[in-house]
Amino acid sequence: MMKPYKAILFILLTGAALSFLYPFYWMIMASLTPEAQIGELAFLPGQLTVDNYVLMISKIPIWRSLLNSTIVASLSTLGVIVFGSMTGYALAKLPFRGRNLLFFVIIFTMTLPFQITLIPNYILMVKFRWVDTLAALIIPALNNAFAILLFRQAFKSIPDDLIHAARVDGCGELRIIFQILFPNMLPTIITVGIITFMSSWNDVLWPLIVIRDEQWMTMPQLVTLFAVGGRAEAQLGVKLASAVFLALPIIIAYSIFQRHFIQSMASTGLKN
Amino acid sequence: MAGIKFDRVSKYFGKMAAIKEVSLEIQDKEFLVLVGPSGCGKSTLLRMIAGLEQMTSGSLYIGGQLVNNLPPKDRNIAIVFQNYALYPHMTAYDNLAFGLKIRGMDKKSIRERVMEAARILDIEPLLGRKPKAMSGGQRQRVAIGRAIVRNPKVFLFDEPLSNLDAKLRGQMRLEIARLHQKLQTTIVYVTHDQVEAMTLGHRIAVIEQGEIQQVDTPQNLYNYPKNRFVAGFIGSPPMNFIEGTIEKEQGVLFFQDQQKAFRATITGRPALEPYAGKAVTLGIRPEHIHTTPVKGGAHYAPLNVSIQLVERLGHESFAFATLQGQSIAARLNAEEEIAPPCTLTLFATLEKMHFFNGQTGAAI
Repeated sequence: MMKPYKAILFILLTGAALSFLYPFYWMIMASLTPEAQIGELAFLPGQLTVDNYVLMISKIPIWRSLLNSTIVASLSTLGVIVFGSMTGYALAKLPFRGRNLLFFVIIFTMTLPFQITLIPNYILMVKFRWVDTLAALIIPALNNAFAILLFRQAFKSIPDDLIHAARVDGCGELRIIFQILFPNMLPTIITVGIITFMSSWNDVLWPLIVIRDEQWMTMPQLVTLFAVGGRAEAQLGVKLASAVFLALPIIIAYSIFQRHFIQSMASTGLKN
Repeated sequence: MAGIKFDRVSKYFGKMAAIKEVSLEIQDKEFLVLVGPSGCGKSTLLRMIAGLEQMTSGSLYIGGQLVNNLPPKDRNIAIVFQNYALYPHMTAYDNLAFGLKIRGMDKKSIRERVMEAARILDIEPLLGRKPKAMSGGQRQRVAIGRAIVRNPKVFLFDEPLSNLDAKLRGQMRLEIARLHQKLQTTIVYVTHDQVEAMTLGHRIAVIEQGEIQQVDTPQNLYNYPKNRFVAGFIGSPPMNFIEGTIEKEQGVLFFQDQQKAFRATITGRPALEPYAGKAVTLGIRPEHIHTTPVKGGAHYAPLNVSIQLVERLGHESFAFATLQGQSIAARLNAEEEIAPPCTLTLFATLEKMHFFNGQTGAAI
């Protein structure tokens, strides 16, 4: 028999969870409801339809943008894992002059709002002739301070002797990182991977600045322009269908990795 | 040939000297133990041989070849670490095979080598296990296996038994000694445990504050320590030290302690003549202090001590006493019946006394 205070707590937490879930549920149901009935939708739709999705697909190149987003988010994530770990390893394990200063500079960049560097970065993209190419979305995102910080902390918690043993066995630095240390820091890699993938996938502002050609747009950018740019012709169902399309991949990815994600966030926070 | 030669090697961390102008030659096939207290620089010396620590100045030769700038993998050495440093994600077999794979050896030869090493160390049943599924002793065997599988010219052991319990430590000590007999390879072994040092080493280098104090055979170190530090470091319980002066009365030399509680007549020690009137330290090992003065005609000096504690080890006992505030330990027969606290007269063998310069600590 559950104690009364536990029952109350259970009801409260269930209520809170539902209040978070309900908007998503409503969004999905509304996107499957004929436009005229959306206003009356409470909990269950009277009639289900995929018209909103068909209309959305016919109006915007959503598949192309899905491919673009997948390429951009995947390559950015791969880059951050490779280059972020290399930087973190150097900052944690290789002695060189100015190592700590460099680390503090990297941490300092985390405090700068993205908006401050927006214009200089855009000018760089123009100079490099990367505007309206995926390079503008991928290359600047190949490393970031947060990933470096997480990797540095993870490498610091690994005993030096493991690295020394690998060196005596004949490993170079890259083999030490990727063959010896990587298998022993999977939680950190998964955390960095998920955070990078999600932030890259959800980014709208930077793509809006550097991509104008519809065929290179990422899905959030395309959906945002579609939903607020007038092309949805004020049809709520179509807008919501595009929003569902946008959220679905990240929800699927999160549900697959969520166990690792929660585990690694906890361990990254508590261990050295 | 895989002798090792340190030629005036120094290592500085910033302005702090970890190793000061060390010169040392280790012969081919020798088992040399580097021993000293924590932070004395012994591990730094070992890691220099491995190439894991850069030296600030001096030259290091392995097998006659200058290796100052040679990376660890090209030195043909293997090292066993205190915390094993096994690759956690690999099985014992893969841990042993990894270094060979990197060197491009074919699978069949790798298998032969790994199985041979596993047989020598009796770890064949462990080959499929990962380190987390092994005990400390098993991990240490695998770590040693990883070292021997490569047939290196030099084995380096960095306090390999420190993490094991006392029983296992004794067992592994024997195994390492047997391994050396079998492999006939140069071994440099770092430890802070003087029992390990005494039992394993052909020679022992005693290090303190980055300097080698003495390099000699275990017996010579024990019997003829060059200075007070070595005398105090080798031996357990350590040598007793009594501060005092050399006095001369009517042509006879004697040692007088500071509190005037102990006096020992000195004969047949001409080296002490110039020290008359000067401060010296007398050293006497616990086994050279007895409860009765009847040991084969040797000469004794009486010590009137207060016994504080007796440790009974079964086959022998240690009495811990004070002589006017100075601590004195004596090794006694197990049969001696002493009930502390009590006062007692002990007898120190005159012939076994060591004398050290009161200022420099050098043996006289």
